[in-house]
Amino acid sequence: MTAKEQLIKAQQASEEAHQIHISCRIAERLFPKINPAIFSDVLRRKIKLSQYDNGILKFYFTFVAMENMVLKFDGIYYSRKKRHLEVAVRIPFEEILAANQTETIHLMEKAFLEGIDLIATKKLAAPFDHQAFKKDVEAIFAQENWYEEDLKKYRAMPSLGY
Amino acid sequence: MVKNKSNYSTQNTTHKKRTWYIILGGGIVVAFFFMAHKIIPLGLEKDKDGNITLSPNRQTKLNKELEEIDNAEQYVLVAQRSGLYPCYSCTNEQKTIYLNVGEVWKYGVTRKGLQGRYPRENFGVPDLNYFQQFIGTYSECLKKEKIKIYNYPFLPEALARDILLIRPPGNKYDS
Repeated sequence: MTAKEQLIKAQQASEEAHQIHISCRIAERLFPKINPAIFSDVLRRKIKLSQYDNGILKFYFTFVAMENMVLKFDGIYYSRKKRHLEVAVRIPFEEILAANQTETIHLMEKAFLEGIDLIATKKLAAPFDHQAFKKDVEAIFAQENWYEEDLKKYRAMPSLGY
Repeated sequence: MVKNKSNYSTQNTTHKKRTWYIILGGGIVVAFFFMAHKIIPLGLEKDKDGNITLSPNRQTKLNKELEEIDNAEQYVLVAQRSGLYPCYSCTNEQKTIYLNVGEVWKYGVTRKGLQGRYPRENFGVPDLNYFQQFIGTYSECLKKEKIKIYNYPFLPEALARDILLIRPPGNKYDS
């Protein structure tokens, strides 16, 4: 197996193993203030969905922040067959615009926790302790500067425009 | 006996012919009826004056589709983290390409109200961010998209690569 094939295989295995995927649908100018990778990196390291039972095998979360929402991007969707949950939560555009980096992170934290609350609105194929999931995520967010290490990593990338 | 059999056979044939004439005649009558009275398909109806018009549901559908044409957005999908991504514009059997964080994977236009269906909106490719770049009519958005796709080879990230791509990795076609 070539080095490239090994890299592909490792990356695929990593993607399959990841239970939490976080992305965004935002106006371009809000990046990198809104950088979902910071949340994704930390939560993937610290949260295992399987410990809350197997009602949700993959959790896809999207931060939505646009000045003009001509298309509907927020909402929740659950696949009973795959046990995948997709949820998108809107953050008010004006609030993000006025916020500094730390305040933006707090707005994203709030949106993420709202997304977890939305799990209760869906009838899952199997049990899932979303309250315990929320509690553990809240504990991570409660740690001061929980995001600092990953934020530093992205700030060091000149192409991102921090 | 033979004579009776012969009579039965003739009567039977005559009876059958009569039945077919009745069916044929009835069919002709039905055909004339439908020619005189048009069948109104679903989606059309008659108003109080007897004119054919769109049904309320069909009118609503038309209005919605017109609105979708007028309200579209052009977007870009960029790599959320460094790694390998599918490459549809690569040549020589290369199926993947390494992208750094923030590099373009695909330009696109959307006019449908998908309900934040990540990863569906990302075409099943994980670790992508969606940035809204332009809002306008569908025609305007398609032009923006096309210009960006054609100018992709001149982006610094594209020029820095060992291989030259004619369009972004996630764009199979020029639009």
